[in-house]
Amino acid sequence: MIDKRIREDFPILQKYKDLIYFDNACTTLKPKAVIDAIVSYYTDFSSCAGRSAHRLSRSLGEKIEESREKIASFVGAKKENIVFTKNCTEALNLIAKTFKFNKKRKVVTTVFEHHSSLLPFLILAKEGKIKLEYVKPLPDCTFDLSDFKEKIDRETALVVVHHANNSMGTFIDVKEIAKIAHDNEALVIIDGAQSVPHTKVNFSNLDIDYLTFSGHKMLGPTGIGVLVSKTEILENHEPFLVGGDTVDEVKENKIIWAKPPRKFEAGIQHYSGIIGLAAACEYLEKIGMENVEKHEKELAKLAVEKMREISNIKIYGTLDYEKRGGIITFNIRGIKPHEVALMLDKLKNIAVRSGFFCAQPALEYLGACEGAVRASFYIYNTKEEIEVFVNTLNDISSMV
Amino acid sequence: MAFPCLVAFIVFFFLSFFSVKYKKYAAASLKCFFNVIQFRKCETKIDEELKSEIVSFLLPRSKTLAKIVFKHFELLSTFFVVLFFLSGIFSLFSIYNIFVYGSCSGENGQSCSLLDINQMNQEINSNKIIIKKKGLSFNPANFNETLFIYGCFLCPHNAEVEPIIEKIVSEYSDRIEIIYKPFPFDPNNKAAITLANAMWCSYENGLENYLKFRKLILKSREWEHNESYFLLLAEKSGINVDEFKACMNSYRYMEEINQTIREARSLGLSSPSFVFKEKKLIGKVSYEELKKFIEEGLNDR
Repeated sequence: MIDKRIREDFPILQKYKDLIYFDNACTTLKPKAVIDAIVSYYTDFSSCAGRSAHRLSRSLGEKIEESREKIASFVGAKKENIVFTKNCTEALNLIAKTFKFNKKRKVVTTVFEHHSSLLPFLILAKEGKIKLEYVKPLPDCTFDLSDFKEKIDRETALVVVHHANNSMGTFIDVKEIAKIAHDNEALVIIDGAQSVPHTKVNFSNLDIDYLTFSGHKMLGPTGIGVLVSKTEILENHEPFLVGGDTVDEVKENKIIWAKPPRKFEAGIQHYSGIIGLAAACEYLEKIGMENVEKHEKELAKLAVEKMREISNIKIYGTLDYEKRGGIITFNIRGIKPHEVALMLDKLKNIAVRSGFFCAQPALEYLGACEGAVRASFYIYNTKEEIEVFVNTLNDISSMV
Repeated sequence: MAFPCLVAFIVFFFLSFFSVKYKKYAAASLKCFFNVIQFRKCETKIDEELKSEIVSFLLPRSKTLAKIVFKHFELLSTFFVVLFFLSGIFSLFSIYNIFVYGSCSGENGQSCSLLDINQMNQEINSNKIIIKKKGLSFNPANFNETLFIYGCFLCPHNAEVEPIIEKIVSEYSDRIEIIYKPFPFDPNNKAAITLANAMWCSYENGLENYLKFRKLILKSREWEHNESYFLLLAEKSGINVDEFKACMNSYRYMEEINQTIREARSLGLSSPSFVFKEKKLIGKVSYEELKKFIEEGLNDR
């Protein structure tokens, strides 16, 4: 387990001593190192990166490239593979809206995708531009690779799949899926929003084509996301948003686009966000992603074991701890998910998420038509917090 | 669903004047109301929020109570909505009665006036109501005019106006007759009936003793809980205790007491009230107000 003293790094936990923050799948708390890094842009670097000739601009330019390198290294990619976006959602929209579908128009995905992955392709399907096909999960909410093999064929252009599920925290073997896709000359988009913050993800080793993630889910600031992709793939995409810095040359009737990632980074960037995200990567690397994953799994295991003793609780997803991370989605029979979340908050200041978690088809597939409650753990959570959480759930479940 | 939303809005709107935290509930209720009347889903989840708030408050205090509230929240909500409207209707009705009759209970009101200062000075329809002159006269004599005082010492206002009555008696006893009518404003209250009975019985022993007895009653309210205390007061007042006791036990003045109650009900009086020359003055009055009331009556010849 990660030492509890890590909590001292988080100003918000020092401010609200009794806060039990279990809404990490939505967004994480920020350590002082990240907050300081964000502030440093405004105190030390405030300017436009690489555009002006003055030393402040040049030093910011260097800082941004250094940050890009750090972030790339964190996910096992090259710095030119890193495109900064507003968030993971924007990264996924960028791919969907600029991908060139030629003869192959089939996109394979799953019903467990986040709306950010699903909606851009659902719109394309509704417009008749693509054919969308879903791989159905097994009863324990994991996937059988043979189902992917069955769906992915020579007609498939893209496979869009999560690495870790945001509803249940279950992992998918993306390396194998990438292999199946590549055997059929299809590209693979991996939504890494719930995996990059929680486990070691190596873009090169996984041999995937696109990886997307958000900064705020991994201790970083809000408003910064990342699209990771190979240069040759990015070059095939049309620009997403255009403007300052996306071009090498512009004439009255001619545009020469800049090389990726510049081609996709229109206008002044979220510099403080980029610097903050790099600081978050650095912070997580110091802890070690193996330790992060181990810590979350232990907490989830403890929580699931204790929650199973409560008679009215239904936990969704596999109970095989190796296949899931630090997310537990559940319902208490007879009590609405929103009521459970409100009561947890009011009784013991426990922050959880209730509803559909931006994955309505997934929750409905699970039979949770009114949504569910999601508790998600991270590095600063403790076993004592799990005890309080489970005891409070016990009290709430005694209502029915 | 629209109906409870509207009620919730009204309630929280008023509560928001006292605490800002209710503003969000008022806004959510209103939004919910508009959604529902347009046959849309109430997206604010105000019901769930309130339910959770109440149950979370109860849970650490009483699991059983929390469980009951949680399970029957809809039923309890409906009950409180109905209660809200009923109490609203009764409140409006009572407010109307206060302004018209000076009592929450209206024309047949028997309760103390809710108004600290008398606001009621109304004509009495003498064709309908007959006030019997029988009562405890401060100055038994044959005067043309009579001031009737309806009162019950159980009501604190009566004790407060007693010095004013004394002053009026000393000032007007040579011009008008002043009759006190023991008026048990709540006939179901045994102490009120016993008190009225005791006052009548004390009067049987002569005016002087009655006035002493009257003063002693105001000094201590021990009689309220202990009936035999009246005997002690009677003895102190120089009243023949045996006769007083026999009178008390016989309840021979019940007809007079009931007549007073009937009169007071018919006139819409509370305690204290003053009736003079077909006009009534209800509630706690000042000396000036009572004097003015009498003077106006005297001048109205």
